[in-house]
Amino acid sequence: MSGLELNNLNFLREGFSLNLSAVLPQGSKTLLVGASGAGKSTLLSLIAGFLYPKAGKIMWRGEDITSLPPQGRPLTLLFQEHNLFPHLTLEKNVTLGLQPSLKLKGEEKEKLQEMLKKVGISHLQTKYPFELSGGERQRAALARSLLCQKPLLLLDEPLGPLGPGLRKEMLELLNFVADEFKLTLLITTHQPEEALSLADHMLFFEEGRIIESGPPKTLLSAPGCPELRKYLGC
Amino acid sequence: MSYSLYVFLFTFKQAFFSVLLTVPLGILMARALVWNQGWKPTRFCLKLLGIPLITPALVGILGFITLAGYFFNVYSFAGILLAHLVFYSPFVALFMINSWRFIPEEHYRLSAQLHFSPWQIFVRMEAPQLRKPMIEIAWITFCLFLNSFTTIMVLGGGPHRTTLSVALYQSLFFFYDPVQGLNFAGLQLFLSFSLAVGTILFKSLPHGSSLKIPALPSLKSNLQKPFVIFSLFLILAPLMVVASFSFFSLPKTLFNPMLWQALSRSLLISGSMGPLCLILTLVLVKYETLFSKSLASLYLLLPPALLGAFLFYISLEWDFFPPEVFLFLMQLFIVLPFSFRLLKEPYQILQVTYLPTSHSLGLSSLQRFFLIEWPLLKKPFATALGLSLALSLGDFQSLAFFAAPDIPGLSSLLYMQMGKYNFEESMGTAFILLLLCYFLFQLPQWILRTNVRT
Amino acid sequence: MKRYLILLLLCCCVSSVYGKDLLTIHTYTSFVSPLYGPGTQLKEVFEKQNPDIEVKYVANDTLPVLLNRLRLEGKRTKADLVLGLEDLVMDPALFEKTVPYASCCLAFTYDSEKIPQPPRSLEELIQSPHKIILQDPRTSITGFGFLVWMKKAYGEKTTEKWKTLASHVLTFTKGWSDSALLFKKGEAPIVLAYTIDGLYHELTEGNPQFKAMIFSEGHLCSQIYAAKIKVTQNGALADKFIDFLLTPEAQNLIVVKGWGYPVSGEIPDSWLKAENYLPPPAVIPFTSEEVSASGKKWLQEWIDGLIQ
Repeated sequence: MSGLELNNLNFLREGFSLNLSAVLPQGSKTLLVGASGAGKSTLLSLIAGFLYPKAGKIMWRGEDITSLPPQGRPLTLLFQEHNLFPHLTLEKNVTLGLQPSLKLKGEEKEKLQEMLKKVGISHLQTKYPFELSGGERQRAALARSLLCQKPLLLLDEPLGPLGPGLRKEMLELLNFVADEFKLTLLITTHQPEEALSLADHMLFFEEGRIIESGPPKTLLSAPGCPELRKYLGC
Repeated sequence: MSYSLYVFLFTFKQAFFSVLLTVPLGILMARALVWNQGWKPTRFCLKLLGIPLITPALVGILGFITLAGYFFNVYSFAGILLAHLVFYSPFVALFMINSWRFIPEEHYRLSAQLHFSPWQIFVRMEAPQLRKPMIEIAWITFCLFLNSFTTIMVLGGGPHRTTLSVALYQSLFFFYDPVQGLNFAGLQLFLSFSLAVGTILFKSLPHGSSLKIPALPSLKSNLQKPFVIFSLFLILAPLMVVASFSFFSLPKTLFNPMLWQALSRSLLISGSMGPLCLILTLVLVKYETLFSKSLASLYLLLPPALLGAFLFYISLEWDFFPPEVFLFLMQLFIVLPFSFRLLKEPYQILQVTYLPTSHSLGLSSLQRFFLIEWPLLKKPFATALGLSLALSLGDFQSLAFFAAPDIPGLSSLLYMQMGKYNFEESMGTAFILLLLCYFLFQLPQWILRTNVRT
Repeated sequence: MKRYLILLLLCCCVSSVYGKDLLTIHTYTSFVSPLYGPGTQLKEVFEKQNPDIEVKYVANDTLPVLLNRLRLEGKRTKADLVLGLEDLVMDPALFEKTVPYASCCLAFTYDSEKIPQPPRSLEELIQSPHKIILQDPRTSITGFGFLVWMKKAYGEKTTEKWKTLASHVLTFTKGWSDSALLFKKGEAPIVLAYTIDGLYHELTEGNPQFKAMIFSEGHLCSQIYAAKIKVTQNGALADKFIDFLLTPEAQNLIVVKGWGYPVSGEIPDSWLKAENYLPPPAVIPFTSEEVSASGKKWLQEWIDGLIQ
């Protein structure tokens, strides 16, 4: 079943243009690969509704969501950093995913605790963001996104600030929650090898265009186009 | 009730209520401007926010009286509060917008995803991150209101609305009574210090590990657009009044040779004092100590009359210095609270972010300045220079103590014309003075091309 | 660094003229104002008559500041002569002699288009409904002058009268200029000024609309003095200038440029012909001794009376 569809999406900014079509099946885990500056973050912002395209359509399960405001879309976007508010504790930051007023009812409290346990940060509830490590901050942000109960999760370089050990942990966690919550994932990265275990689909992106797409293993072992070959250094 | 106690209470009362009105309005204005920064009227408004600060007090008050006078009796307590509101809320907005730049844009996107209402965005996200600058601006405006002199004298109408500044002026310059003067100064210091301690106790939130280059988020909020228009009105309306008064007499004003003499004298003063003030500010920022910090707050802590008197009497004692030295010191004290704050934060960020890199590159301090510090400090530097040029032009009070030269500056000329009932001509001079203030305020930004986006 | 700074400052200081005797005259700002005030012309004429003397004016913000300055400087003062002192602000201890060279009287200037029937006495003014702009006696000489006027006119009842008056005072401004601005803008039809102001208006703007109120019981008037400093080294020069001030030529300048009544010499024809010319009015007597002895007390009475 078709999940996210991007139809002739077009976006212009001084010195940069984006022009693409793509289909992400529901429940798929897609890697968006490209050098920094290729427009990956811009594409995520377009899908999430922080930017509006000049032309083209964004569809979710056959429904046009192109002109919906960010909060009306069936998705959450995790940023590279600044995902947590510095003045709130981890617990409160996550609570925001359930209730902007921060007042939780009994069952909501349980839900929150369950989620904190699932992503492995329930022992850090009273800490402030500046007291946490990069990985712990990412987990907290992920927990909050999951509580929003949106079927599509966009992640902008989620592995960027993490060390090698933590990256592996994070990938396992993502894999786990994606299956558990039946999510559709779109993850940007510039190091596709690492995310091989996670993804079932890959888009290679350069200068605002999708140049090649396919299963990540095939693409990485036998890159077709010269641009991808150059990017991978083979 | 004794006179001292009465004056003390009134000073506190008017400053307290002025802050209570001015700071929230300034924050609302700042927020509307931040939320619509791509909008044309906003960009125009951002350029004008500094104007009330550099407008000579009496000129602004005249515009205010003319406009507000249609609606109610401005010679009252309410009139004083409203005048303070009009003159200082744009300054509050200017100050707050600079702090707004440090909120990461991601937080706005996050708030949108989390379905925050506009009110929740402010309470949950913006306000907590702006708490420190809010408290600081509340203290700065509180001190400025304690020092309010011209506004209170014109609109106050008698001894029942007297501030410590006025009482101090009386005991230092009219009936020379230094003991009573010290008494008043002590009371005022008590007021300004009590709040200063409060500000220091308020710790700011630790910034995230990565210090972003300050920039305003790209947001849009049609709901807040009326506030932008309101801000523009607040700034422009009093100026339009002055302009309209001077319109018909403008030819007469312009053909007066004295105006041009005054203009060149004013330019000479501000052109020499302004840059000098800024160089000293830079030195103080670079070698920041408790001493430089307190020097930068001196004008806020002490009434200008006391500072002026102090310098004046010192100038008599040390008469081997020409009076210009003391005039300069006075100007420096006036400019410092603003220029020091404008430059301090960017400079600190620069040190934290780039100092290790430039050390590891082995740059000499001169290279460091030209390659790294200067390009990144250019913008706040231009603003501070503009402010210090314009402030060196507009203030009457400090000039009056030291030098009444044969050729008057524009502000002295304005007073002379007023004193001889030349209403239209004095308004013409006021208008030219205003234009010159604005021109000097913008000049460094044009020269240093800080408006060009990089 | 310090050494260079001092050197630089010294260069700035050494700018006096050599070969001439220097007479340093302290006065207040408006006396030497290029717009008005007879200072500049008096200097020119005097220097022409005495080519070996150079006159240097030092302008002070106000007269009280000037006197404070002289007291603080004591024997070190460079001043030889003070011009513009009034009975209201006087400190005989500082001076060897004081010679009046002009006089002036306070009066209320009113807009005759708005008030066709002006009050004819202080009492009528106090009881009238008209808005009035006054100067604050704590910061302004004219304001203080009116305080003395009220005290001399009403004695024990002053506070009571002040309360009635204050109910229709628009505001007390810091100085004279602010009052003039508000008056010309039309904020109130009456302003505390001098008897000469209506005349000034008529002669400079050709419009007799603004006139002075004449009070039958008298006005508060003050002599204007040239005062020779006790400790001056240039006593002879100071005396010369004082003598010069009383010559017809100087008196004419003082009248025409300074807008005061002369102590000797003629009132010019242009004044006599004008509709708004007022000869010196009846005077409410007071002495500078009682003002310097009780001025502070009167001021405090005024404050206490009005803040209640």
